[in-house]
Amino acid sequence: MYRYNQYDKQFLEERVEQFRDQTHRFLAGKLSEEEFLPLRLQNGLYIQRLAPMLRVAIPYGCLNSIQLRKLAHIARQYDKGYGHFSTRQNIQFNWPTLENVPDILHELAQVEMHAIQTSGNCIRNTTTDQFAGRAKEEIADSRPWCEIIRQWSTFHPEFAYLPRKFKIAVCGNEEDQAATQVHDIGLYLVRNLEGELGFKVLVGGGLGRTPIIGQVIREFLPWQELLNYLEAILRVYNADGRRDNKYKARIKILVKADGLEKFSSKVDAEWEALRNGPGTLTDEEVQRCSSFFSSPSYQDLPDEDEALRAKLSSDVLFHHWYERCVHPHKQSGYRIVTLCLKETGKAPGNLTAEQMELVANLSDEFSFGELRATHEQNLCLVDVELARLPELYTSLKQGELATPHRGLLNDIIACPGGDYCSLANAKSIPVAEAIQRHFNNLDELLNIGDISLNISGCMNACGHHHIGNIGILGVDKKGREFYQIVLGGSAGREAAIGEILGPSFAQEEIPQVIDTLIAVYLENRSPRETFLQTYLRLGMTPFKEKIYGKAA
Amino acid sequence: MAKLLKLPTTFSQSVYVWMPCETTISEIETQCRVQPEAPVLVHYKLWQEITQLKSLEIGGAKILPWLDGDDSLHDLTNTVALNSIDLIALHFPKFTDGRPYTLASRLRRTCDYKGHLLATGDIGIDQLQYMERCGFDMFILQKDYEETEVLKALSCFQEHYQSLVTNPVPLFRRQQFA
Repeated sequence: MYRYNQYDKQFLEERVEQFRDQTHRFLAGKLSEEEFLPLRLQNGLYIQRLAPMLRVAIPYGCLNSIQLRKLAHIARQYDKGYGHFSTRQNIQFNWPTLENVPDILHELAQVEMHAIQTSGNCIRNTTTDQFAGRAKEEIADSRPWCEIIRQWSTFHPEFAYLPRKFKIAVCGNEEDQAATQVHDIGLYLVRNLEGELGFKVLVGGGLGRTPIIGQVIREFLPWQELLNYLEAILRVYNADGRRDNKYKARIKILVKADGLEKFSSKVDAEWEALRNGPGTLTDEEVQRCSSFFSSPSYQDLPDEDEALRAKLSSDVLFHHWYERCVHPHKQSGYRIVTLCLKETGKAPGNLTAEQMELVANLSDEFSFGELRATHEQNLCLVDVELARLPELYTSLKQGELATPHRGLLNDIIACPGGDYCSLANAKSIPVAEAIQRHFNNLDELLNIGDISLNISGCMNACGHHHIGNIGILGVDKKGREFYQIVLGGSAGREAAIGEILGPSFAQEEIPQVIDTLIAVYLENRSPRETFLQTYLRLGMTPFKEKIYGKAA
Repeated sequence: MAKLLKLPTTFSQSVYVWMPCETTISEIETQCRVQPEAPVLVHYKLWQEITQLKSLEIGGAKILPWLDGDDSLHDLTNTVALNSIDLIALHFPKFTDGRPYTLASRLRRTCDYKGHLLATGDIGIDQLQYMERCGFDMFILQKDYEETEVLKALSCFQEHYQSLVTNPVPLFRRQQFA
């Protein structure tokens, strides 16, 4: 994991002092609400429905046990004893007071954490695949590149007042779990014919009101030019992105309006001026950043275990957990383990302070003290010895973290929704819970198999409903909370935006609607076909007819 | 009364007179007559008209161009040698409109402009250091700030990760690790 040097530390200290001063000036009436707004947002602080919300960055999802213990402490000391992991690998606290935020930031800085640029119209936390550096099939480890982008984007003076927020994702895994294609910039690590490393660059993806899959602006960008090229894109966006309408201000709208060809020629013109300049990355810098992400000291272990095999055949729940939550690892004798934060009755992605401490201890005990936060709002231990999986499972069970739901219908992605967020049209959490309660039979869930269900409380799409195989969107219908269903979205390398099923439903109807959709799938599926594959084969019609009846 | 901050850090009463887009040439002439010691900032299109007709001064008062985010640098660079202009003002209609940062970067880095870059409009001290790092060296501050506050805001961060106008060498090319 990346460790801060004296410069990184100094930046954080200076930032905390800057924000302390700004908060002080705001509270003293020397900064207006309007002047303070972007300053607090760029420190992760929203003013929400019930209280401020503080979003703390977990850069590209990497976290260590010391940091997680600090988050537990903050949850307990400044909040109501829990935190919420978001789809962007960050963690949110819903109950801090404004006056306390500088102190919270100071505490975070002690463990090399911060809330810098987790909100506001600037470059946000760079995200990546949670298996980076551990996946069996990997082109290259994305984490050093994420760190390089983190540094470049942190306090970039030219891009602090962009037309709108800006999100970058990097993926080096064959399987894209970072929803890379729906980011303002998506970067896939690739090798060219000569075997040199570079990036396939996508631009203009995004969700929100206008969901769009990013377009390929460059098939191969040599890694040396990464920052120059990003700078060129950002410069064109900062100069030409719309500022007259918040809903048309993302880069996707500019790319669409210009057309890819024109947009790309503008980027090239900027890039020409920057190319081979001082921003060009060096071997030394890439090696330096990569050195933080070298493998831990693995033992030489066989890739099978007698006791594990026995446990798998004797304990059916363990077997299910193993099938759903344990993933292949590049190192023989090791596995990646997902901790599914989707226990029924708890808000998806929420973790209590006690659970955080338990997970921190388990990561020390089982996984070299490191963790990952995922886009699906779960956590991962990425270096667990195969033979110790039964032992880990027992400990996770005690913390209610061993639900075998990873990738099943109950592994719901959901934004905090109307219970917390002042932007929301409707609640998300009770809808997620109603669905989880309706589908409470594990055999049934396993029979349904791989599926993603994503819920957003409004058009801003923080719950990524457009890219769920089933997406649920909260809408306001004459002051009442209704829910629209979209089908067929997906987030991986074959990313797709879901299509609207039809008229929306009342909250209490949703579990039955999902039940009907699942029934259509189960009736029609071919052997081993997933929900998405069946949907892609059959199209919308059979689902629509079953829900709304045949058109007259 | 607005203050002028000129880097490295001299403060004075601002004498610059900023005139909006729709100003007429005769209004400018009147301003120059009334206050010949005050340089007048006019929108660059009008400035081009005036400077083509006459000179860079009217009755002893300097006429200088300003641009904002809506303007294209190409128009300006195609018609004049930039480095013949002592000062260009970049205007922030709102402090949240970040386009002048890119204008400044382009003027300094792409066009190699050496004269003064003056920030006008809706700017507060919390934006100063980023502006300076993009190449601004003069600022008209509308609010009444203490000089110590301004200096503190300008030196919030000692270092920078990126390649900047003020120091093009990014941290990764300079850093020495303990």
